[in-house]
Amino acid sequence: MLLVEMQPPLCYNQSMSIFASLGIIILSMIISLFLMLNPSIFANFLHYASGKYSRKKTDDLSLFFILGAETITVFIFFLTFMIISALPVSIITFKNPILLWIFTGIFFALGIVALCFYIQKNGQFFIPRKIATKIIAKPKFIKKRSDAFVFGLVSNLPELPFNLPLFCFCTVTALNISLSPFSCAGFIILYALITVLPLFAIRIFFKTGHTLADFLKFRLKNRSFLRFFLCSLYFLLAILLINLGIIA
Amino acid sequence: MKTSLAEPFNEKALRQELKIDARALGIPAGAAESFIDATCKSVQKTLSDKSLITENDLKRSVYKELKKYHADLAYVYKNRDKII
Repeated sequence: MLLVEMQPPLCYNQSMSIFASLGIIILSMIISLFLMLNPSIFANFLHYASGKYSRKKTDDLSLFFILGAETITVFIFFLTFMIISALPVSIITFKNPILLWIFTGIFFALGIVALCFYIQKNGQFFIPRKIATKIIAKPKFIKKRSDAFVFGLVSNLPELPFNLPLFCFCTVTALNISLSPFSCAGFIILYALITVLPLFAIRIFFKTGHTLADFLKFRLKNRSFLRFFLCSLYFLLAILLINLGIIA
Repeated sequence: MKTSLAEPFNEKALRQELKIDARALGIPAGAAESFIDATCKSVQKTLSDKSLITENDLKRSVYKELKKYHADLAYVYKNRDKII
């Protein structure tokens, strides 16, 4: 008689509880919410648009900018999801300590980078000056909705070094709690919506009579707080990962 | 190889940029026009005795003049390259 040993199917580890995983995802969302490069690009764009065009056209262009930012976030997140979910389960399970250590290392590194380089003393961001100068000058040439949409797409890219690890980590976490495909799509869209919330906040800020000068003053005043806050959130994420993943 | 990056002072571009900033800050067009005029004249006068100036010199000079008329406009002009 042929005996076949039944092996349990290889599946994602459930060592982290669903609540812990959701907590970590929410923390990642909060980090994405406080990244200030894209909102600053949007504020500069809104300033130029309101100086050049009527209120109606400015509103229109700003909406298309936000739509562009939303689209690229969803696209990159979906792409990340597709690539990571195509990897073997043994690699992307939380049982794999190497994966956890990689994420922990990345988050510690990002915490240090956020503290030291994210915003410099004079309020400039970490991106190279040549690129920054081009991004600052670009809104001068935006006339159509399509231009605003494309600028929205492109403006999200400089922040990818801070966002992409979070996308990857959230994808792995979502796969580990075995979300259904529909839930995954919903989760990605929800995440992308949360990342564009600061843009809506800035739109309201400008609509209520505030100007670029107010925004710049506010950002310069809270620069140190933002650096420390971002750094501590990344550190917190890394520590939680050690505590809930590696030690558990 | 290009050795010199010097270019003539473009007053028209400066005026245009300041007008856009002024409109975005909600400054009435007439008022903005008058103090942009005054600023440009004063800057021309200050810089007329120099054959070559740096971009930062020009920026400082415009900022100093603009500050007399509208602090927010001067602030935005000065910190434009620090937004990103």
